[in-house]
Amino acid sequence: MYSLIYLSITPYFLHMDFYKKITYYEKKMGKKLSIFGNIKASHENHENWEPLWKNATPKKTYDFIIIGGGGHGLATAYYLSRIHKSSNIAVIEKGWLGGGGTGRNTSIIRSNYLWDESAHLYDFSLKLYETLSQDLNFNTMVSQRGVLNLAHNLSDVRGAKRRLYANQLNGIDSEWLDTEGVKKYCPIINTSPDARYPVLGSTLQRRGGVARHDAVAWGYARAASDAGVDIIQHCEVTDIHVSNNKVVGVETTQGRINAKRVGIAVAGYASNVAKMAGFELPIATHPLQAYVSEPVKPILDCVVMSGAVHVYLSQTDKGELVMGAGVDKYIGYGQRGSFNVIEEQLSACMQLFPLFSRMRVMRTWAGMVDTCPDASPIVGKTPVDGLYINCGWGTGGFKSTPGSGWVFAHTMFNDAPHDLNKAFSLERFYSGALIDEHGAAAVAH
Amino acid sequence: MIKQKFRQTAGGVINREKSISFTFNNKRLYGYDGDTLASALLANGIHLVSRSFKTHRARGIMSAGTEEAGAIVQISKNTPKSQPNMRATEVLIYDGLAAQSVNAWPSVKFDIASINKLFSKYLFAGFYYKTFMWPKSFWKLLYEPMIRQMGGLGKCDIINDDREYERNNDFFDLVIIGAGKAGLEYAEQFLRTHKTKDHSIFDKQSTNDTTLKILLVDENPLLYLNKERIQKLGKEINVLTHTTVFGYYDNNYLCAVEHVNSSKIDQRIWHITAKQVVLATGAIERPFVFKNNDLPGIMLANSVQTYISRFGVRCGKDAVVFTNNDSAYQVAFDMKAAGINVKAIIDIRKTSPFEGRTDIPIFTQSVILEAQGKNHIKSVTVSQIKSDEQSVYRVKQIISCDLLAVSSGWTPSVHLHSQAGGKLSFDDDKACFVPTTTEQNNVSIGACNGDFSFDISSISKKWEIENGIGKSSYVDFLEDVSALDIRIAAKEGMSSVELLKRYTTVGMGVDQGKTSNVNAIGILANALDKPIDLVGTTRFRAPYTCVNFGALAGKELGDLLDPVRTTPIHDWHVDHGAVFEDVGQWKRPWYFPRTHESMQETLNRECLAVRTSVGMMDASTLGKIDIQGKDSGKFLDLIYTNMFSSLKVGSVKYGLMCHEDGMIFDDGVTAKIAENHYYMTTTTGGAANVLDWMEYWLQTEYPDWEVYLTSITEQYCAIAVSGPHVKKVMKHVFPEESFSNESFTFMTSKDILLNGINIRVLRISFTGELAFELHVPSYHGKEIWEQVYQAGKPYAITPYGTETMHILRAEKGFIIAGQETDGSVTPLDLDMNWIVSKKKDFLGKRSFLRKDTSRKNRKKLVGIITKDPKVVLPEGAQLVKDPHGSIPVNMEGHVTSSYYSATLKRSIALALINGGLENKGKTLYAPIEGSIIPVEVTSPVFYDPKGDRQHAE
Repeated sequence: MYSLIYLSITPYFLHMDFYKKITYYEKKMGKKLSIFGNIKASHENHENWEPLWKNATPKKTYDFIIIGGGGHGLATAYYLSRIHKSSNIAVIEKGWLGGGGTGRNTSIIRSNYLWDESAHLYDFSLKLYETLSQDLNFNTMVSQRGVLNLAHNLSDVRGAKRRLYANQLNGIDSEWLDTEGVKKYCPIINTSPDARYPVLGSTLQRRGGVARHDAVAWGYARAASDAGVDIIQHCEVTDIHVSNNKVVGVETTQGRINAKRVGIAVAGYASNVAKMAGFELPIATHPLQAYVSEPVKPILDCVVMSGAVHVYLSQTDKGELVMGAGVDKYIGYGQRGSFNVIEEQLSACMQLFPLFSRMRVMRTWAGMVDTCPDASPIVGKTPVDGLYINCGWGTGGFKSTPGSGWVFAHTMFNDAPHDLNKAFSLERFYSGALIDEHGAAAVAH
Repeated sequence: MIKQKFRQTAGGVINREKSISFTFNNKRLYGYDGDTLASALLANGIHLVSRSFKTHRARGIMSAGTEEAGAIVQISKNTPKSQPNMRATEVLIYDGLAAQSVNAWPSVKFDIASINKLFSKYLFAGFYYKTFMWPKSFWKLLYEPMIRQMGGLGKCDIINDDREYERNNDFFDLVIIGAGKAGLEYAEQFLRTHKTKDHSIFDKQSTNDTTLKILLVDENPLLYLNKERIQKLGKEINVLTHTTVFGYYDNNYLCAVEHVNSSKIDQRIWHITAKQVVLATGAIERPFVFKNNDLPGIMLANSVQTYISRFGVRCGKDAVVFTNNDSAYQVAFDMKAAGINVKAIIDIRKTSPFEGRTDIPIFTQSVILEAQGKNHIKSVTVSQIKSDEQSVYRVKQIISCDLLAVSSGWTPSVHLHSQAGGKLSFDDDKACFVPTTTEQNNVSIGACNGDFSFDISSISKKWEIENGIGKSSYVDFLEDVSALDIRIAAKEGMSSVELLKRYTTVGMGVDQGKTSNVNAIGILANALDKPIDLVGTTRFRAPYTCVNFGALAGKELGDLLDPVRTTPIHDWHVDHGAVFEDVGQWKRPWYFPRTHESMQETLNRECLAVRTSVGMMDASTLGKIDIQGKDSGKFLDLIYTNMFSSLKVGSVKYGLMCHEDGMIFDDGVTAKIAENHYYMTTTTGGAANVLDWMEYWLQTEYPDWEVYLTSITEQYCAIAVSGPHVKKVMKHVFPEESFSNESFTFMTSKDILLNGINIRVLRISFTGELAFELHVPSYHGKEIWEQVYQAGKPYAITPYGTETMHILRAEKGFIIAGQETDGSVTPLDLDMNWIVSKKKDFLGKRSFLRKDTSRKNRKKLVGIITKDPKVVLPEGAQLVKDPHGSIPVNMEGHVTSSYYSATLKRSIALALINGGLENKGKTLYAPIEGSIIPVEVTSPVFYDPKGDRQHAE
């Protein structure tokens, strides 16, 4: 069918008048990215492309500095400027944009979390994802192809249903599929009752899916840069200047930069940066690996996650199977993991998808996950005035990116948390008001 | 047999005695034993193998090794051995091999989707990100499905893989990777100077084992290597051929895949730990980037030579050679000697050292501007470059040819060096990245270290011939990335090589950029006007070549994925018709249905039997930990919330454990067997965690305490016998013992000798009835179980499973750790204040003082009864005050356990709700799938609230 559509539109593309019309529409679109711009650029031999974001050199003073040019940091800058109409904002990145968790995750988005606090924050994020391509005028390829969380034993079923009922009352779409339902929804899953871990059922969030992770960082960077945010790459923060318990600026490899408010969004390095300002975080950073197979024609049309066998996988638009492995148990900042973790996970994967035995691992990589004792993030104020922290997303960082940026921008702008991140304060580790997603998170990704 | 048009009459290592028949795109072809699919196709004059990823351009065989980026095939389609995305160069042919082109329909020669070529103008880097956004709904309905349909190369057949894989582990003192010139010489030299007996260089500590273990490994089959020399070496050292080392991890830990190709095992994964690693992995030739450089018939120069020398195959009749260095000249001479008409050597450099030394016309200071042809190269356009080294003269010459051998330089295979943490720098003279420092105990030698066997120093650092915008000048054949794409990305600010990779996908294809990465970096460096060294490379990651999921999974499949644990009484349960449930790795009897009995009927019968007569349950899966040492009591006081050090010998106590946050994570009973000797039981699922937890505290915080922990879960069976008639049954089993309340009081234990078997009997109750638990050495478990069963027959003793156990304990309001608790529940939340010691410190205690943990309105344990006694709530149901509240609805808590109780003739449930029993008598609602179930909050103890029954005489 697609070939037919394709053939029928071809002649238009090849017609010269069409190019003239395109030029007209392209002008009407202004700076916006569109098919018209693409076609025009092609006819202009691509000579006029501009940087997606400007590479800024630091000014002396900013109202807001965000340390960390990953998805969260860039989203924060974007919303500070767009929602809160702030100007004079800088994002400082020590390497290249989106080079941490943003570019290393398995790109799953979903919001079917158990606890109200998590559910509301992640669902807000998912809603922002649903219109992100249009909002940013950059195709982030948000693909709501459905997320299955499989249950393999009675305890899994109990936990899954508890989460399902809570999701429904929180307004998060969630359905229960029995074994046959799973087979129907994703026919290639092995649902044999004789399997070592038989599939007893699954929750399904149809709004869940995947997005193109790098594009999320680039889209935010471009939109933020267009709005006047200074994006400063290859600039490492080496110290945070505090005077009378108030942040006054940061020391960087490009010199000192003053700021009224500073937000830390550096994921795996959060503890190190916090230390510069003189406070500690209950964060442990672990290596986490992921890998892709060679690209094949469409074979898996949804995201499948299983806690008991620790598998989570999906197929990209390019055709690769993307799979996440388990966390390496030791603490490390090396962005490299152990091979046995991948082997063990593939053994488990063979149980669910015996046909994938013929698939081949093409590339493996590792990132860092910064995790809190309760497997929930910290987004809020710090013991230092004007200094804010956003970290501890563990394996939930990518799916929360838009929501995290939104509430962090709110927190930095108002010097007070948004309703959605109130509960995720650093203070909860003193009060004991933990949001423990361990118990119910099935597999936390 | 059909004549192989391009096969020479002699030469090569193939076995010409043995003809092999195979099919390509359903056409029967012949090759020889020892051929790769690529060499056999070339022998038959076939270059065009597949269609490219995005633009569906014709792609052919461009190399002779793992760097192949053109010829991708599907093997054994629609059979269990089906394998997508194989490179024709890595497949050895065998009788019956069936290979097919990928990404082509209806045929590779006439491919409908090659219409994409017309669009290719619009399919540039970042193109996707800038469109398909409008209208929004079209993304899901049209754009994305269309893109997905176009993505991918081969097909993953929906049929299970029947090949066998296995795994092997080994240690070596020295591993030499690569049995080419450098590797072989190194191995031979090493043996000459050191001999395997001499181990002094390795500082070996063991004096018993005097032979050095050395391994030589190469990715090629033995046939393609220097057979005599390797076989000679093989007498003294280990040799693995057709084995690719694909991963180099910390501590000189290597992962390799051996292509066994035996009838039993297809591939074998090796985990190798080496003291010293020598990398002799060679180098890969680079293609030129020029217009239409991807046409079939354009090949890496050295591969043309390989096809001649190894397979006796000529890759064409009329050839042109295009080079910027000396290495391709020998290829040209070999081609000529093999009968290929070499029409010209095009050399970018101002002068060629070979001028006047050959009768092949040499065009110095010249380039190929473009290649012509549709499905195969027909001709090339040659022009001279001006002295600025950029622009070309107007005068062009077209040379017709059917083969173009290219060499734009060499890229050392530094993958393993780099994976191991080694650094690289760009060597300007050699125009390649070479290893500098290493992080681990390894050394690179030969070509992979930039030490080539030919003089590379005169290389020209030009590998792109600019001609137009570079749309059809391909850098990465597999990902369809052109020079233009790289320049667009550079313009758009993708200034880091990592960003370039992600934006253009260069180097992200099946070959992981073996032939494209350096060219891409060079073009990016030019576009950014930066030295190549500053642009750098992307990080090298395992695997070097693609490895089957199945091979990595190895034998850990099915039941071997995770051991199934069964109790010594398991067979009895099977014989008696038990239905099992999975609890962790264990299979536990869930219930014992009789013929024609529904599950609920079974549960009713089992429950009533325990309440009115006697029942028995296999509790062997409980974790059991033997605790000894003079600080055991003190240690248990730390671990449990209640006091154990003051326990009398022979007494038993129930205990709760909390993590530091004050939240319950396990429970169980512990008996004091003797002074400084305890016997702990844990939950079935928690056994390992509890042992880890205790070891963690002993080893990290209290290493000076004398406590010894031993897991004895597998060493003991536990048989729970429960019900009003239990004492009569016990008396029958142990005629010598008295079970009166006086001589065997509640919460005590006794070791009783029965026929020489020491049985530890605990008088404890999880059902609320009179009950005993018999802990029997595993070997005798089934025997004692049988004895109890026989002794109970007069009372119709009833075996019951976990579900009945759950119901019975819920009737009594007893919790199950992991069901009533979820990591957010304190002992106080369960109103178990009585078990929290005020006299001593214990893990988690301080957290009880925290603001939120000591808050009033926390979620606490209650009983729940439905207004309609017949309705059984689903476990996990959320409870609300306002059943018609708008979403999001405030939830009061959730149902943790829910059952139909035959004893009470109604449904019962336990729940954790805000404020707990303060809500007693209040009505809440459970909204379930559109219906609303009204419930009432009650005490969690539904049966025998005073607890008299367990104390009955």
